[in-house]
Amino acid sequence: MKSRPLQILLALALLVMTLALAYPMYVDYREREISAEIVERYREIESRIRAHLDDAGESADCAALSAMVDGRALQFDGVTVDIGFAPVELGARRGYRPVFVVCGATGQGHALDVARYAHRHFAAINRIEAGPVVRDSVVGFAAPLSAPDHIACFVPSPELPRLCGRTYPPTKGEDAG
Amino acid sequence: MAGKGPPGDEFSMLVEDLHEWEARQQRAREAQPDEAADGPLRLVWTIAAWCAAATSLWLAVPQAGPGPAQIRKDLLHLLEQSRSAVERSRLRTGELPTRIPSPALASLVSYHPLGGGGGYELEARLGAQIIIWRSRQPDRFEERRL
Repeated sequence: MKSRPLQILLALALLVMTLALAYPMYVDYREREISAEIVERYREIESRIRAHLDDAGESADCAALSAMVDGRALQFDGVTVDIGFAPVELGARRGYRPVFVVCGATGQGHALDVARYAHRHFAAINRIEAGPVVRDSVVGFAAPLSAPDHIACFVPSPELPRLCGRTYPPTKGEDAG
Repeated sequence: MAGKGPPGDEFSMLVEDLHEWEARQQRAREAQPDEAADGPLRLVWTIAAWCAAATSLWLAVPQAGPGPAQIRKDLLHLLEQSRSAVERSRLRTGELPTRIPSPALASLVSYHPLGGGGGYELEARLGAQIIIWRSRQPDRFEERRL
């Protein structure tokens, strides 16, 4: 009877230790899961845009391509996911092509780790555009949504790019270029 | 007022004392194994409590991310990359781009072309740290904290 409180305390201590070991593993699992969801979403959007470009050819307005994607499909916990446009030059012709932009920065919960995992996933399927930013405090990269040597549209979308970890739509003084 | 008893009584008292002493010794011997068993349990509990306290503390304290010096370094890197992308575009087309040509950088750095003179401003922000660079004052970096 004398050792009963000690046994209870020992059981509690073991429970706390088990939780302490299990919780980081759960967080890591969630981060990997979210990054896998981002890749899945990318594949869906890419196939839709490629099918549209195959059918309709070049669009005059890039906004038409952005409008094909439901904004809710780009919402992930903390991580910023957006459709951007990269300039394309084919001789004298200048236009744009859509890209899938992912970024996560420090100070946004698990966004940085999720973006890091997503970067690994995209690298594994060889879908990272040139010039990714992979630093200690920020990870940002783009993946192509159409053939890199084809113009998809000519007039860039008037919508400003979503800024990593900032409010959207941008408030006064938070607009981007 | 007990007087001095016969010698037999003293002897029996001595025997009783001896029995009592033996019984005390026996109880002490019986109690000793319990204490010996409690020793390791107490040690295990102490170690477990220490581990629990350490892990709780580790959970409670957020894992350290990059420090302000590293963030500043990364901000300067972003600004340099963005400046380079804008200048390359300006060299190619002869005019300032309407936005940073690299979509990955455009999601990280704010770009503001300034009217007339071809100047522009770049603002990079990570966490609470902001660094602003203006093409008209290329040697100066304006640093702010939110």
